[in-house]
Amino acid sequence: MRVGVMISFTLLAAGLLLQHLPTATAGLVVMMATPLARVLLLIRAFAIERDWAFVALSISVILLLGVSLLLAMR
Amino acid sequence: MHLLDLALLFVGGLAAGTFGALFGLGGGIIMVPLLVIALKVPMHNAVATSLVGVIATSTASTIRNLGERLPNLRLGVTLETSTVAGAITGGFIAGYLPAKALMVLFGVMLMGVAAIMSRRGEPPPLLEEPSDRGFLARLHGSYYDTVLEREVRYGVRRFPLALSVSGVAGVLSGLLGIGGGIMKVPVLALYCGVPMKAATATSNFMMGVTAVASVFAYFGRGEVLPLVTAAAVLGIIAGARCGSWLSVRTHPVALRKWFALVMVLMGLQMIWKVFH
Repeated sequence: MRVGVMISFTLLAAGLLLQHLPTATAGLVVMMATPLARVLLLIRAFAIERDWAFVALSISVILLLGVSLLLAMR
Repeated sequence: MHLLDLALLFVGGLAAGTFGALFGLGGGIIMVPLLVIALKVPMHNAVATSLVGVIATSTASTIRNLGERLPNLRLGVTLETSTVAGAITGGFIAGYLPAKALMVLFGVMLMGVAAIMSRRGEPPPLLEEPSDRGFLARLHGSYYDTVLEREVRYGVRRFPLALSVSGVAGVLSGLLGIGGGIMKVPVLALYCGVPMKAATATSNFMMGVTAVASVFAYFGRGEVLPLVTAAAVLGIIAGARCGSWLSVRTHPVALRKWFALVMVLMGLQMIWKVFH
């Protein structure tokens, strides 16, 4: 997550200073991926604790996000 | 884009980020009116910008808060199911609504928040040893309060209320580009027995995922303006660091007073919007 923020931060700053749209857009995409990464890490952490109820809840959140992405790309 | 406009966007983001991280507001409450009124950004683009800002605030402050064990991750991910469903709904409905409808809704939302906050009660005493069994008992949390200098333990009460409010917060987040913390934090703190700091941190953790759920819809409609968003988001990230730093170094009671003051300011902001 920290690395994601750093990458996003750099791309956004570069895109802004150079007024370069693709770079800024890439920064935004990385930024949008950080919460996804966070939930994926959460799934892993709950799985290690064998806390299956919360693994299932986290997966259902990821699935909902996938549905949203599919709907948006239509 | 004018360099001055981008600088203003950065400063606006800085203010929004600080308040967002301090009060679990996500910053959209400040960001959206600022973009629409001061910088003449169309409403849908402002909401999209704000949503990316909400993600940035959430991620930045969660990185800091996790070290303090403040966010209740189990509670967060459970409430997230209803919030994300709501956010997807809100994000797509926004595509069918004219800008003016969204702006009126934003004003009404601010008024509703002011009304709720004017009748604030005292938070109930914490359930130090949660008595529930089963699922609810697994939502209880604890963290080390650096101001009180002791471990704070708490149980979650009135879970269905928290789940419903989270769903509504999700819809409003998707429609208006706010984090939704404005609804979740008071309910979690006043009715569900979650201490203010934990409620704020949990809400901060949640709103990034919530905003992603609806920002896809805005992205798909081409309403995310990369340069405007980049300037605002960089400001927000810097602001979020200030806000998060402040939030663990202030007394909980003082924090609540500031929180109440923000509510009043938002009410005034709404009146400003109506008469101008």
